[in-house]
Amino acid sequence: MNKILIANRGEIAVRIIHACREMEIPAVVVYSEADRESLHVHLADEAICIGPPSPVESYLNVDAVIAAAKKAGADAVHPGYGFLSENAAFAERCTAEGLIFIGPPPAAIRDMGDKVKSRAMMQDAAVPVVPGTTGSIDEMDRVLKEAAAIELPLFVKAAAGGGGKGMRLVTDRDTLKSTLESATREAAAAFGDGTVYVEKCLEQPRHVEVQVLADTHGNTVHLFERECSIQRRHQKLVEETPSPVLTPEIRARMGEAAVNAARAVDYRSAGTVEFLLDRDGSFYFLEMNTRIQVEHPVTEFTTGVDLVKWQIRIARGEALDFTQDDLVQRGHAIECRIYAEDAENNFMPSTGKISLLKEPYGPGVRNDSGIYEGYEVTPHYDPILAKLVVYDENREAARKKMLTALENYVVLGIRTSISFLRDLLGHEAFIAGDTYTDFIPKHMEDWSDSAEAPPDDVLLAAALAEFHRKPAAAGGGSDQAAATPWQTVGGWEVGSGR
Amino acid sequence: MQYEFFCNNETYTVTLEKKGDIFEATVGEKTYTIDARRATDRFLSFIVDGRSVLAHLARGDAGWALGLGGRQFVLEDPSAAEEKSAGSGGGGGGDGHIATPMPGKVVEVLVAEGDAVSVEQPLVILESMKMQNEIKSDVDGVVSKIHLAAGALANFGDPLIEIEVAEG
Repeated sequence: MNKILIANRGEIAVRIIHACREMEIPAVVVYSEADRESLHVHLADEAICIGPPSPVESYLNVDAVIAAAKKAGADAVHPGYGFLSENAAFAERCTAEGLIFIGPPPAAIRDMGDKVKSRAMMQDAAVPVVPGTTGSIDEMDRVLKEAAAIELPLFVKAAAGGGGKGMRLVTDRDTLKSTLESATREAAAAFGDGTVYVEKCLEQPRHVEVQVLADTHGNTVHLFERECSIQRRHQKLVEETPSPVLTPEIRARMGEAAVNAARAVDYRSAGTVEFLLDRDGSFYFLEMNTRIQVEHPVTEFTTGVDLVKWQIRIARGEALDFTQDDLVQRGHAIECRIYAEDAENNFMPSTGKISLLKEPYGPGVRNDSGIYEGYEVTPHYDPILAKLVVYDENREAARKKMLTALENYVVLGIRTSISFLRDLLGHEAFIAGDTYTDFIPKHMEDWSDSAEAPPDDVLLAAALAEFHRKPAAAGGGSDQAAATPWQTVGGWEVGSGR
Repeated sequence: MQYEFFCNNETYTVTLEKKGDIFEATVGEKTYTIDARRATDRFLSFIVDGRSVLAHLARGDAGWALGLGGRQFVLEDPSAAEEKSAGSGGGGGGDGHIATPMPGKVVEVLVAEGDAVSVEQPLVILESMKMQNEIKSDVDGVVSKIHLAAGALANFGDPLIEIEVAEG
């Protein structure tokens, strides 16, 4: 492998550039017209513009990415996460063009991308899936009989549904038949497909995932779990490892299930098997993410394994130089995602120029960032700016380290998730490890940062700043239309942008 | 010297008097003695009644963004406050001039010119950072002009829709 093209942007592209540098492999990046001044472009060895800001015309444009790789003379492609990372056709195309795709085989991406097929494959591989039944309404007797073996409450879901649509909760077994019938009618009307299925409803589940690494020599290991229950809009906000609730026994079983899941699809490279963990300790396969995950650094801290470098090493044919027994989970790591968004206003995105940036540092503090002071956050892409990751001996020490690091993280000019994260990590439910997927609606629903009056220290600082302000700057701008120090007003109320 | 700042819909007044190396300051009823010698356009470090305070700041067009103790504050100039209160007259709290609250792409325009609309009625779906957001009407009235069609890229503050405010 002589040169790697990174088909991504933002903090993950920067993370991969670091791995390339350390391995002395030149890194080529691609960028859209909106990203000329992005950090990944500044840091790469070579950079090639592949099109307009719209992702479809640039980062998702297979032809443009392949052409860039050819032009640069790259012999491998790292897709990062998102964009083309789980696109089997792209992986196939890379191979056909003589490029090494740094990721799993296309067939593994395809198998895991098909939710019905992967569920069946997992059952064959003895990986637990959420108990449920499938079948059309014509086979009502069979469906009812199979459903009788599943504990209440149940979900009746439309096979063609999703995002809560066509989903009905059943708490009384007597209503199951009528619910199945009405759900079938509703699904047929809404989706043109009346297929419904019954699934056990997990109350207050946790989202726990297991990192796996598989090489081309038949070695597959797991690198323990990550607890990712704290989410907003189905996007993770805080991740940690180890999970505050996993017992060594469940951890071992879950790890084994993850390895079996990976083996069932002939997996290679780094991947993540997601599980739902029920209150009784049962866990169920949810899906497999066939790429590097955003939250991979917490695993790197606690296992000492560099996952991105191993993706590259596996892709060039190296065998893992450690076994499952060599892997030990040590200490505790927490990651907080720094998003450009307004947590007070339904997590609405915030764009604009970063007028000041001060990043935290210290022992056990890692900041994977895609921004710099003066950088302009555009509306074209995912709002993730950076990931703040800390490591310490135990959970409480790591939590306090994270609080301190967040306190020393200053981003001015746009709104970010930093102060929301501080309050979240200081919440008694987080301290207690009561991290369920409903954490934010349950504990942080009415969170507000601006309800209180500014402390006097803030007013004193502002007055001192005015005092020291250069006279030239103080004189100008008074007759201009008033724009706030936020490039855009955080609120989404209509007319505010006049 | 007297300074006024507008923050979270309140106006605050701070007076500052330099006496040699120190400042005497008042905020409301309280008085403070401040030892402030280190100041750049990025940060201020000062000692107030024995406590050391470190603030990071950035000057915007009409005020300060300030980071202190892990929190961020926006302290606007009083002129910005006047602008805001001036703009909030009329029925439904708006004036019928709908501008884009942030840069993004117009995904769908939900109304047509001549349509009667009411307060809080969604008018346009604007996509930003992969998220779709409804832009709602701030008045009762009739749509008189649509400035941007589906597919258009909008900059912050671009006019989107004009609504003729209903009488009474």
